[in-house]
Amino acid sequence: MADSTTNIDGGLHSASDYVLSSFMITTSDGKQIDLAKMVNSFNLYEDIFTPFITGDVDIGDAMDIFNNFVIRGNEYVYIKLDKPSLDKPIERYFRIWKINDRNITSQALQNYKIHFCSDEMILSSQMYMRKAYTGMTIDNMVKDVLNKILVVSSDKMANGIFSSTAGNYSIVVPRMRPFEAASWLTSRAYNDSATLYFFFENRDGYNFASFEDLIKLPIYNTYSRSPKTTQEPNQNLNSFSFIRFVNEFDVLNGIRYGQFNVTLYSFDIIKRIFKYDEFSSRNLNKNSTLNGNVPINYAQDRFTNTMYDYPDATTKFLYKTDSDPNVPATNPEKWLLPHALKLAQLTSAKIVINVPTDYMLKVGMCINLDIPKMQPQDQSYAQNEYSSGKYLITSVHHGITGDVSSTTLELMCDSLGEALPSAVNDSAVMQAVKNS
Amino acid sequence: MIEKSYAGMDHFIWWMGVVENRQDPLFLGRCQVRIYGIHTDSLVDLPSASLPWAIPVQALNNHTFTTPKETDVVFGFFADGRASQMPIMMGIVPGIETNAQNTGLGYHDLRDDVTVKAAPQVVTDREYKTDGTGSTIKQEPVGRYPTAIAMNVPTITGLSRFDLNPSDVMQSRISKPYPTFNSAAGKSWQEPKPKFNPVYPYNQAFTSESGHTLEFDDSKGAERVNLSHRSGSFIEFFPDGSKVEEVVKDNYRIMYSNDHIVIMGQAMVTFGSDVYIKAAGNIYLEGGNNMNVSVSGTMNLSVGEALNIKAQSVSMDIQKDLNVTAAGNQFLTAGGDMNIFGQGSVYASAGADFDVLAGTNANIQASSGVNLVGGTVNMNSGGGSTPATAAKPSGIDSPAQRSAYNKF
Repeated sequence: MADSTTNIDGGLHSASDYVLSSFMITTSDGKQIDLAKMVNSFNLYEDIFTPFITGDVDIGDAMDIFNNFVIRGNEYVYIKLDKPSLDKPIERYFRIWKINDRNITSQALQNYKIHFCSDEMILSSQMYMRKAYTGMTIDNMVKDVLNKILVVSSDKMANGIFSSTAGNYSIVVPRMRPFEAASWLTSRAYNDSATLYFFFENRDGYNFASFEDLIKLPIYNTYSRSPKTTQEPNQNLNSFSFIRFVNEFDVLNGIRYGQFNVTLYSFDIIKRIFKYDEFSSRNLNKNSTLNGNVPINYAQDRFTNTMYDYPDATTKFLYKTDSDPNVPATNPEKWLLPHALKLAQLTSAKIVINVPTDYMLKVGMCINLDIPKMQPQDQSYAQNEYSSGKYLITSVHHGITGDVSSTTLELMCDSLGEALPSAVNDSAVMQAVKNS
Repeated sequence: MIEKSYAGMDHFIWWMGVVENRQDPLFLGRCQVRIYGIHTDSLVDLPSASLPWAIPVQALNNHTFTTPKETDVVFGFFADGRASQMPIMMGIVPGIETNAQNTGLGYHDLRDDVTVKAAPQVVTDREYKTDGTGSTIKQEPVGRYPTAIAMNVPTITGLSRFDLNPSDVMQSRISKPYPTFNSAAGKSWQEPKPKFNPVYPYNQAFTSESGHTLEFDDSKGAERVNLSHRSGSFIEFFPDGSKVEEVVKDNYRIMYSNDHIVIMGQAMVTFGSDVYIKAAGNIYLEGGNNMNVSVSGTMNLSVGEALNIKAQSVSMDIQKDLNVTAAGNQFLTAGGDMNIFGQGSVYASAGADFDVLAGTNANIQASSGVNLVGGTVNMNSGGGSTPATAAKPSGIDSPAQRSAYNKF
């Protein structure tokens, strides 16, 4: 199984077409062998919360490659995954980190699963960082981790997004793996127009991107449910064939993690200043949301408070020494609060969809989702105006099984496509319910 | 539910590290500490100046300022948990120092030369002088830690484990001479030698960088309290309660109110040079028995007003002349006889009248002649006259006879 097309040059036959033109393993003694023809299934994963790409393949090995080439880990593997008519294949090196599920089905055939990941993942797992950054911005620190610590190739750095951050920090990275350090630094990043930063790898390389910069990018595609179209889903590159609403909303988790309000209590040890800073989703302007409409209504409770009126619902507490004039301030109120709130907002609603195989899709992209309203079959198509809208791709899974390939996307959204009906808090019905 | 980013509820991460700098610009006793495991010893990746400032925790019973010194191993925790940017120091971890100086690697004393030069000095020698000029010391910079003498020995003070080094005041006290000091009346005394005999772990002691010491020694039979200055001056309470106070240079003692001293036994005071005593008010000296004043030179007694001497008897043994001069009148009064006796002549001279009055007889006798010279010599007798006889005077005592009663 190396491809699902008979004529690569002939262009796209099906939305699930793919071409795995290379799965070239380079062993430690310099031997190379291409296992593309032996691949039974193939998976490739990207995640916006993960700084590396992983994948696995099921191999049907009738040549005892496993032993003849002594594949015991650490091997490099070059993968080229393409789709006819798309202009940019996935083409890069990975490293093999595990082989499991090895089954000898006959004297001449064995099956096993090869797991591979970005080379930097293995490198990062093998080293610790203990390094001082003095008077630097967070984005430059993250770049330093990639460039100086992991020595990432320029190819992987050139095409990613690197958002700028505000504030100069002096930080000693306290014995962290490089990826752990970069992710930790990312959690402390802020600027005046950004709430949340992500550090991740996608098919184009490494990214250090603010949520706001990602949602400003052009929308990659609009996917809709096929009833709106006349074509079969696998014949329509703009159609999703499967959708699962993993989470529509979760008020309790939202409260716990700060979806509505976050308050930071802090005590400055040097000048003995105890203070608290509040941050509410009301502080966010529409440029900091995907669709601009809050996902939870403004219904009042028995105290005439809305969900947004409890600043103590989610609290953080930190000690700090920001009043030391000799060291740059850490300003946790500037990054911890918006970071927590935006992350809670974003993860409150999660959708998984299957779309036609598209190796251009990558995490960090935004797509539009046109979700139909549930209604009788005989009625014409109507859009679910709340669920439809702009989504952030937070995970991508390219899968191939046999001759079929697909791309599964995990999408997250912090807001609704249309504003919720206004809460009528003073109605007799509401009053009666609240006081029951 | 365990909340994240909530101080005190996140992971408690403790650590040990080495103090590399204690020059806290905020004067809070903070130190820059390179933490084992968390930090690297590479000065390229982590220069000493980039180390986070560890905040000290003080004892609850006071606000005494103490701070660890470079190369001290300290223990603490991170107030910010895993972020590990805010270390808190809780104490010093003693050990046996085996890491020699190395300014090219972290976890060492990395102070620059200027800072080291400005740091405390250590005494290398003490000379105890008894000529009144005070003792002298030789000293040199302590230098970077660990010093050569501190290598391969416990980091706690040698006073606690009876391991003195030449810079210790106690070592000087043990080896210095103990002269005998003479006092008055042939009395003499000596400074007691130190009863230093600490048994680990009973001597709670402190030695500062330049050599000041404080000891509270509970060692059996050698219980002492000692406060020493690096110069050699000290005050020490001995096991029997005796106190020795030694000042190697000048001593000043000033009281803005009263002072009270009771000495139940003898007091022996030896002054090496002049003594000046001045009282703004009265001076009272009382002796329960005799009072002996002896000077080898002249004794000058100067009294602004009256000099009153009251005694059962007054005896003056004057090896040469006695001159008693009064600017005004002079009276010598005796309840009994008054005798004036000179081995040579006796001169009584008056600028005006010279009166000799006797309640009874007035007798003038000379071995040879009696000369009365005057412009006029009047002799008047109220009764009959008795002719003088040279052979046997009668009725009167001769001066020679009277001298037998002379008390001089």
